Amino acid sequence: MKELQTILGRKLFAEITVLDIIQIVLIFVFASILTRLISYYMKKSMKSRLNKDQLGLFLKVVNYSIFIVAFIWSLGLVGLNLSGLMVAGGIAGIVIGFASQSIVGNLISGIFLMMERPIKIGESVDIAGTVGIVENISLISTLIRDWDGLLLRIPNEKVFTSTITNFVSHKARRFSYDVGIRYQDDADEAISIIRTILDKEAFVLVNPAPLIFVTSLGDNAVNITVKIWGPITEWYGLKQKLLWLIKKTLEENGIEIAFPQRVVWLNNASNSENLTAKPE
Amino acid sequence: MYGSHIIPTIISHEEARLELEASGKKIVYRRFLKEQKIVEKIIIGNKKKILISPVEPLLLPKEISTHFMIEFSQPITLEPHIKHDVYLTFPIEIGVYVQNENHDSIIDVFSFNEQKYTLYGDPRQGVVCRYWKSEVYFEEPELAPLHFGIVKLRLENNTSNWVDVSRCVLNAFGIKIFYNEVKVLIEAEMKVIDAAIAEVEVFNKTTQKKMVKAHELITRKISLGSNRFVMLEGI
Repeated sequence: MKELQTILGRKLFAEITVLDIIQIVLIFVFASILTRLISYYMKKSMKSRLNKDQLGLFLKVVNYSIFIVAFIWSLGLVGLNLSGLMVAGGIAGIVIGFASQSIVGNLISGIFLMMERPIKIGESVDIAGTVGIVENISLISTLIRDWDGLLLRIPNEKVFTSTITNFVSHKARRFSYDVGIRYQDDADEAISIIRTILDKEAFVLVNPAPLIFVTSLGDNAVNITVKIWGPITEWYGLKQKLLWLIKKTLEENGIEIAFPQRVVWLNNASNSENLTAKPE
Repeated sequence: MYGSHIIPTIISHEEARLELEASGKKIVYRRFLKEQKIVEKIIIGNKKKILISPVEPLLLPKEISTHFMIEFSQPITLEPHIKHDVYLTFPIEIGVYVQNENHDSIIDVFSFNEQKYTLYGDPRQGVVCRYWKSEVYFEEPELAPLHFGIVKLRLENNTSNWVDVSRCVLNAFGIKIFYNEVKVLIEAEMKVIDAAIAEVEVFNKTTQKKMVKAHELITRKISLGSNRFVMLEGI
């Protein structure tokens, strides 16, 4: 017992003893276990009440707070004077700042990203050409899972200074098709058929109303533009479904989708004949 | 059709048919439309009762919105400081529940009406709403209760100006539906605060007798905030 007391009381650095080191380690181990327990129970109880982004942010705040409290507690245990530390910390901060500009830049950008929140966890985004779903936003970097399932890590400074396209932050979005019909088909009838299809589709929004109009008289077809608004959660399903439905319905009503073609005039000595060449 | 039914049972209306069979604790639910099977579900349960009741008209074809907009067939002009009741219609969605002593569980929702959605407001700050266009009645209409319900809407102009009202938006979290065998009812009020702003609230109770309150399927995850809706993007 006396030997143990001697070992524990041995000073390793200044007034910091072995016992102090053990206490500090235990504090951080305890803090780590506490954060894991809290994360586990919070996810279980709050998952149905908060969305992924809100839950992630809430857990980050709780976890960082626990570690800050653990750090301050451990400083108090070893008897370190915080005010003296602040002076030394200020000088060290300047040195570290110059040495680690990019890391500090990422950190500051991360804090501003969390405050401004142009992107949230779970949203589909395009950040400087990287397209995918936001998996996590931490202090230093942002993780994106692209459409092929690959994980991409983007430093927050790059995220903050890049043009961000957020595909899902609004409640509704528009998409469009170009439908080319033959010149001999009735464009008014085609427009009426397309309008009927869109009217029956629940998620084609009544307002803003769909736009259907002849947009150009092309070389091969009369081009009809169809612009449709859909709820942000449903627009892609609509986009996948409607074009083929429009094509089939037009053809069932005798209106064909045009394909490239040329009118060929043959001129001989006695007669002029007009043949329309069609691809085989 | 509304109310509790003992299993086994077959319930028909127009081209729709619900069949429930029981074998021990196994219950099989099937819904047919024009003799084609649309839905089949297997339930394990002790109790052999189902409840058929109207539900909030926001669940089909899938639940994407918590707001319901009724557009009037023609706008109504309100005198300053006037209050008056009008009657609108709304599309019925029918819920099928399996019942036990403590809890009824929804197993199917269907409707005899088509569904449409719209955006109230701009794409950034607006809300996606279930959309319905309704005639405006000044006396309570008689409607087919499996197809249409009645919204008794108290219009109140709290301004000193004449205002035009052409639609109202109800918050799903506040919708309370009351029903009996012949009628389905929602009672609400729309207070016009400004030429383009109104507050809509659905009442928790009905003034009419012998009506049952339907289960609420759309509830908040955390009970905070009002069940009113403030129409800021025009009325």
